[in-house]
This record gives sequence, C-alpha cells and structure tokens, in this order.
Amino acid sequence: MRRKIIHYNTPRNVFLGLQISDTENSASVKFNPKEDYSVSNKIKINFSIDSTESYENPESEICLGSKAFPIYTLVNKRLKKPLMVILESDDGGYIARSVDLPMYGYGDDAKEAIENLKYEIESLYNDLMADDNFSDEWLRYKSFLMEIVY
Amino acid sequence: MKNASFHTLDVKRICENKLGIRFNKGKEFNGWFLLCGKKVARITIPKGRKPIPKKTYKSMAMQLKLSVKEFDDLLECPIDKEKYEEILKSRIK
Repeated sequence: MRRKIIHYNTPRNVFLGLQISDTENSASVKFNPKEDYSVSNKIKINFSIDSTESYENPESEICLGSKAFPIYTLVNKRLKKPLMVILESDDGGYIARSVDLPMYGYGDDAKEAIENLKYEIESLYNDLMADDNFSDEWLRYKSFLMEIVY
Repeated sequence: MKNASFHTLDVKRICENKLGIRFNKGKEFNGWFLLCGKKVARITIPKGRKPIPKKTYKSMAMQLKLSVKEFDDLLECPIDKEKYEEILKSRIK
C-alpha cells in the first residue's frame, strides 16, 4: 500500500490531497480547507483545519507569474494566516488575484496592483461584516475571513 | 473578447443601468448584484481604463459568474437583467 500526500495549488484553491494506492486500486481524496468537503471514489469526509499558527514573515516573496506568494496584511488589518496572491502582467499593467477569494486588484505597477487587491479584500471584509444578507457562497467567504482577519 | 470596445466607466454605467448595481466610491468601484434580495455577486471595476486590460476584463466577467462571451453580450446588449438572473441562478452553489 502506497500513501502519498499531495499539495495542489490551483488558480482558485489550495488543496491538500491524500492518495492511497496498491498495484490494482487507487483512491484519492482532496481536502479543501475552505469548504469542509471532499469527493472521490465514494469517500466523504468532513474536514477542517484548526488554524492556530501565526506568521510573521515579511512579504518578501513577491513574484510575477503563476506561482502564488503570500500577503500577511491588508490596509488597516492584519492576517492570522497569509492569503495567497498571484501577480500577472496585464496589457501594460499588472493584475493581482487572490487564490482564495474572487477578488483582484489592478495597477500600473505590481505594488499598486497588490495594494489595490489588499484594499478590495478589506473592503469586502467590511461589506461582509455589515450584515448577513449574502448567498451561501459569500457567507462561506465571510466565515473564512472572520477566521483570519484581525 | 471585446475589452477594447469599452472604457471601465462604460462597464460601470451598464452594471448600474442594466443590473441595478450600486457602486461604492473607493480606490476602485465595487458593488453587489442582488438576486431575490440577497447579495450574490460582487464586481470590482478599476477607474479610468480604456481599453480594459484582458485579464482584468476576464476577472470582472468571472466576478459576475459569466464567461467572457456572456460578459461581452451583457455589455453589448443581448443579455438583459432577466437573462442574467437566469444564468446566475443556474450557477449559484
């Protein structure tokens, strides 16, 4: 029996995966830290992460391209856990997109794009805290942000 | 993709007039689309860009849960608010 832990980094989500296989059979499970579900080969597992770690690293890993890098602060608020960001060039400017949230920031340079994304995420956080009149999808984002923003 | 045909202010105006989105004034414009009284989609529109950069245009489409072609149609007219609500209902989790 072979057991393999896999780290998936997709454009919208970060998954942890567990793959179990032998010579004849193979099964895999993906865990999405945001959504408490997994689907594969009739396996269903409720899964959540107890996020108690804190990150103090500086934002020194900004890179252009498909590789995600972490941000540790918003404009006026800080994050208990980093949010992953993808930065890409966009017709003469730059676009910074959140991996975990449907948010982006555009700027003439990379710094401005990242700052605008931070502003947007904080603005979203403020919107979500104002009331609960949101679809289930946005209520999940609200729970997610409530866990990591302080 | 018809990003070159539109200024970001065109997108804002069409979202306001066609979809009834009210935008907050901040660094960038952002506003919510309400379906059956609930906030279901949030769009961010950068200020003062023409042509709209391709990835930014696509990101705006995705925020409204539309493909780029559907977003083109929304901006150019074939998609009205009722049609947009139909699309959205089929895509909300």
